[in-house]
Amino acid sequence: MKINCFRIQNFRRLKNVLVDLESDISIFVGANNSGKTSASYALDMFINGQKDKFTIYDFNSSCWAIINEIGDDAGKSIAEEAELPHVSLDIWFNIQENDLHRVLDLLPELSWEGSVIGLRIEFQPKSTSDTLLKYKEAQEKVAKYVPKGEDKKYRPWPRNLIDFLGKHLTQEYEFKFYSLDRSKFDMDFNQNENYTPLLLPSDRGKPLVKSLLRVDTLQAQRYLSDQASSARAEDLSKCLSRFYKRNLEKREDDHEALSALFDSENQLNSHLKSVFDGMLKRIGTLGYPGVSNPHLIIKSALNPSSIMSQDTKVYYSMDGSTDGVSLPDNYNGLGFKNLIYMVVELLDIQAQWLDEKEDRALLQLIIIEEPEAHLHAQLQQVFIRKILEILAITGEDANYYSTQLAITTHSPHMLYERGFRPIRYFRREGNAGALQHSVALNLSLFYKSDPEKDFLERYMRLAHCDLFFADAAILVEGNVERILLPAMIEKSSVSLRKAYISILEVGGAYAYKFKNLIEFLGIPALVITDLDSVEEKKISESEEDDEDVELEIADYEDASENGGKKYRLGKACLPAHEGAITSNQTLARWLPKMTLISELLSCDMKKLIQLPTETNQSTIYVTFQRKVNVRWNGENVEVAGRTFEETFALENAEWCQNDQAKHIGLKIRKKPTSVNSLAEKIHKRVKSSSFSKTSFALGVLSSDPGVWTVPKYIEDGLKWLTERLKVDDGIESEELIETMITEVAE
Amino acid sequence: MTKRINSPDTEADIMLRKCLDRTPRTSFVMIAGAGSGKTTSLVKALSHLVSTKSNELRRKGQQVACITYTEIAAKEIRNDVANSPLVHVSTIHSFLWTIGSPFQKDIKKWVIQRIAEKCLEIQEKINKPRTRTRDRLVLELDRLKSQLGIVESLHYFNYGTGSNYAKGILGHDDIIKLVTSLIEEHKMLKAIISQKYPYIFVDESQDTFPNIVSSLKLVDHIFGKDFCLGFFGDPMQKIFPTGIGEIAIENSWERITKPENFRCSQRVLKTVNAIRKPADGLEQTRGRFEIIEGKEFPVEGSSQIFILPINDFRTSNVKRVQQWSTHKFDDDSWLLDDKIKVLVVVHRMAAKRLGFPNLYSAMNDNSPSSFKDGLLDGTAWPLKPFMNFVLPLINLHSSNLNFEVLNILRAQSPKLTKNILKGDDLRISLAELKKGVDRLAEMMRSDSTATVLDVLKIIQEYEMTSLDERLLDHLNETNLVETDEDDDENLKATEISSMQNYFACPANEFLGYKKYCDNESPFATQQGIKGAEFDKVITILDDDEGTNNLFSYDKYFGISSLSDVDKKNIAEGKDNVISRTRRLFYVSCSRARKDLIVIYFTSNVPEALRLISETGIFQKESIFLEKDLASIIIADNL
Repeated sequence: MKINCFRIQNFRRLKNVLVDLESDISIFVGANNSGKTSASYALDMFINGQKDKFTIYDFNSSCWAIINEIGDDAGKSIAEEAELPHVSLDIWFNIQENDLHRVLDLLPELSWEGSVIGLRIEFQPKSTSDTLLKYKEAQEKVAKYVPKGEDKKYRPWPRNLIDFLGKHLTQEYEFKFYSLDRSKFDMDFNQNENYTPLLLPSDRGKPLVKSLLRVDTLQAQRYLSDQASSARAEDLSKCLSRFYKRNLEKREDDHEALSALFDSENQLNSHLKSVFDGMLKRIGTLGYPGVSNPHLIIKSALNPSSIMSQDTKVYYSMDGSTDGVSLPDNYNGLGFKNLIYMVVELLDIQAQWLDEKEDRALLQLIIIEEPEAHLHAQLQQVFIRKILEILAITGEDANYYSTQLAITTHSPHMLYERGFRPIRYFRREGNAGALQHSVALNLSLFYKSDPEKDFLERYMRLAHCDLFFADAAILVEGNVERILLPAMIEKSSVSLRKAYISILEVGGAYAYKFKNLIEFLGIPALVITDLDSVEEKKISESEEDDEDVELEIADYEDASENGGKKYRLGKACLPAHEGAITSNQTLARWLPKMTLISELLSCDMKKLIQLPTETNQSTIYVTFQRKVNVRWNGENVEVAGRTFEETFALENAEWCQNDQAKHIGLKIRKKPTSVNSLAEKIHKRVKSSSFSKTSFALGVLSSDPGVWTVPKYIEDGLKWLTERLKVDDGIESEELIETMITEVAE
Repeated sequence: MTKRINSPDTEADIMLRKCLDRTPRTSFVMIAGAGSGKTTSLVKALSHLVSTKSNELRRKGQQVACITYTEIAAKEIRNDVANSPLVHVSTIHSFLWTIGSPFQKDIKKWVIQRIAEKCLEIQEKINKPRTRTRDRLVLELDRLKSQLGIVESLHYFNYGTGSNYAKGILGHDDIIKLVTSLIEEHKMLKAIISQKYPYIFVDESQDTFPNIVSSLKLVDHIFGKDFCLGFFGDPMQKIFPTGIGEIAIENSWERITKPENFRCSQRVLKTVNAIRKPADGLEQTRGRFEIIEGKEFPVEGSSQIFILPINDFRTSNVKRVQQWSTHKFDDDSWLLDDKIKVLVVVHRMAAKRLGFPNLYSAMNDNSPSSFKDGLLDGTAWPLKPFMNFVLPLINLHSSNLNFEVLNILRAQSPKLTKNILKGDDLRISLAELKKGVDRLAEMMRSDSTATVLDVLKIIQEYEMTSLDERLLDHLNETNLVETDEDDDENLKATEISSMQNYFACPANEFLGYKKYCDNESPFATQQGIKGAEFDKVITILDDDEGTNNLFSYDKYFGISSLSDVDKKNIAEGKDNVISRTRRLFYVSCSRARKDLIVIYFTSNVPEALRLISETGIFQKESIFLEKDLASIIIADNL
């Protein structure tokens, strides 16, 4: 049996989220505060029936207004039989024929032939009207303490229904269990209208859940460090000793070991006696108040597990033998220790489950939170590669029991090892405030449908890209932009630095290939690309000329389409060239879907922005070189650069042609006389083989940032992104909750 | 009781273990006569499975199911296997409900279909031209149809004692019909049963319904390789007409016979074997042993029969037989109620002997089944004012425990609970009640002629306790026309006539009835003592006492001739009056650990003497007649 997927409703920021699980390992990724951890919390709280852990803050923020609305006119709500909001978890299992007898309560009917069964656990009010009556009663009790006068803000508890539930949630709410019929749900596991799931008898729900699923969480090891300072800090020895303790009970009849302990205990006692005797006698002379004949003895009570925890050290054997060279536990690297620690913990968690004699759950779901903490990249990859092997169930049990893993992570390294298939991407949606919520996306669906998946996956592995954790993405042409972008952000849009922005260096032609992925992830994206103007190649021209064509990228088709018209790409040229077209596939095929440079240069800003639609959440803005006013040699002319370097040279003409900036390699020896000739010369320079883009970038970086300006098209793009992110979410979630609470409270 | 599990293995136990160890799994039938320790073998088999298969069972989430005939038996077995969670012991009803209850949708379908079937039946009756009860039938049809609407809106059905579809309750009979039909129809349920319970043992298999046996066999038929069905029973001890009796052995099944009898003394064993001989010829061996000074000796015991005429002295004759026995065995315990067990065919005999014949026939003869059942343990609602109020009250009153009398009144009398009474009012109320109590005590005296109705009226008049609404309806003759709750169309009519008979009963008959309910009497029915055993047993054979024609000792011994139906049944090899009576006789005689006395009341003593002597069931010198009793009395007088 495996979990197919689960749906969480009204839990924290998970207003209504369906999360698919892979049969072996699923990796939850997403920007901060996108609900990854909430999802794993919800599983833990619902499956382990931790009613007491629920607080009013675990309700989705959209519920609060509803709760207070119901509470504010309790009489009316009772009359109208209003129902307080529920928090629920639907969990869908794939079952096999030989599991049937384990899931009797979930089988819809005897003629059923499916393989997916569902269970709903709902945290719901015992009785809304009873709760309201109690609330009213509580309010009436304190009514006399409400101060008179408008200016008196003080209100005694309960100020509103949320305030009331804040104290009494566990009394007023309870878990209920329902069996769900797959045929009454749509493809995406949304319940059909008019379908009422079957309530399971109260005594059956909990045992049923227990017999099906066990959820264990391995929390992030943020506190494991080389210094034993915090409470959670324990060294590997202690961790192992717990493991030992748990397994000890099975070996209680190992008399050899027990007799050895007995002997040592005796010896130790006489040793302790000789050491402490004098001191104890002296203490004895002090006398204790109230005790007539004080008599202190120090004795050791040896038991195997305490020996393990106190007196055993883990040594790392350097040559693989037990008596060779070895290093104590705390001499080893933190990273390696963490890896071992985690594995021991995981094995322990699994052993606890496998040791259950009665009613062992069919499935164990282990949630590992951020295993990357304190693990460097290679160890992260080792971990994710080996973890399934390590947790494999062996022997006869393998036919009946299974383990599923869910990992939340912020580490790109974890992702590369497994590709897209297991990735579940949590995306924030909605504006700040009560409407904000998250959705979970299944990358494997994207993976199935996107033709560029192989490229993307390879790229992701190669570039160790952090797209899945970003608040926004900036796609840039090349190395130069990537190197300089942080400096440009610093200069023009400092506030962007607060957001987590993934910078992808992809080139105009390849940016287009990211279109689907970015739309799928639904994060805002800024595409900084180049005009890449080329001459249009006439049909009549001979094919041999191809060698002259400066192809920006070697492997894409030489014809671009626009409005049915086919263009053939010729030599690179200045944007000002008559009839020039762009070789940039992003511009031609994505945004703004234009080929003629003249059209591009005069293109309306609106056409450069792709707004979110029903199916596609992301806002995308493409920016490229536009005509800017270039001042050179007393001349003011509007020109557009062809590439970043050219544009930079034009917009910083004075500085670039200055001797001080010689190192960036854009200074033309013979001072150009006009703007146009400057543009032409720079175009040639940048094209030439002697020009090093990297030293240009490093050169700019090493210069005082005050002396150059950010090219306008990039500045525009960054400004747009800054605005965009402000809209997306301004406030952190805790603040958000605070404000919500105060809002509703007042 | 010593733990069954510790008793030594018999050959049958060893055979059974071999059978359980076999792969593929092999189903079996164990035939074990009275006193053979059938349940011991079952418990041993269970614990064998628990100890050898526990890992596999746990891993696969499986249990060994053990189906017993009564909840008491289930409890005993659970105890014997130390409440192992790997063994699921339950009665057949709760076992079937465990299997069937998760499939509420299918249950709903079935209930709707069942109501529709009932409607159809009634409609057919209505359509018959000469139906006299048409009006009532039409009402009943309407009621069923309205139930149908309610059932459509129900989501959950539960299992209760009597079916009430509109409330979502299914009774015993429906559970059996429902789940067996679900098993028959759905392969999935068969698969689930074999997966969840790879071993299903059925105790007292002879009394299991045939449709349950056949549906379990269906599971075995499809999933036999991984499924083991085991029946433990004795066809000879089948008492209930609905039981299957002998279980037919299927291909590849194993038949295990357990011939020992650990219960009966040598004499009783001879009698029991002789009774059984014409049936299946199983001859039980060993017999009861007792340990004297550390050595085991077989118990000799005794087994005799009195053939006595049917006359008005039957009850006193039983007493005389008891006296005779004290002389014969020089053992006074034959006269002590708690040392002997008197087995009668029906309770009427007990009612007569204990002095509540009218109460018995009012509540038993042609009465609603809830009255009949409730009569056996004092829970029928008409009896409650007596059981819960009058009897405890007069008992305390006669012992002059006035404070406790007042306690009962305070708890029950509406007069005292109505309002907080003060001073004079309270005094007046108490004085009134005192009068009432005195009158009740008067009426319940053994020489009183007051009827049940008189007593109830007094209770009403003095507001001594609150009476059940149903009872009030009958007292005041109100609301007696509506038929609303129950399925049986004639129920209200039978209820009314039974209540009239009940009201007319002498109230003091309750004194004897109380003893009977508290099991202070030595009586038990021959049908109701399955699995029980007693040192001294007196079995009374009296066709005149019984009201049904399922059993006839006269026919069994050959004193009356067989009816045409009987002859036909015998010719066709069907269950018949002879075989039924033989089984009843076998069961009641085999209860005796040591001494057995059979008293046979017959209209033709000489003929009976001749015929019984021929059977060899009793030794010649153990057959006695009325004159033998006389000799004792005379001897007594000397």
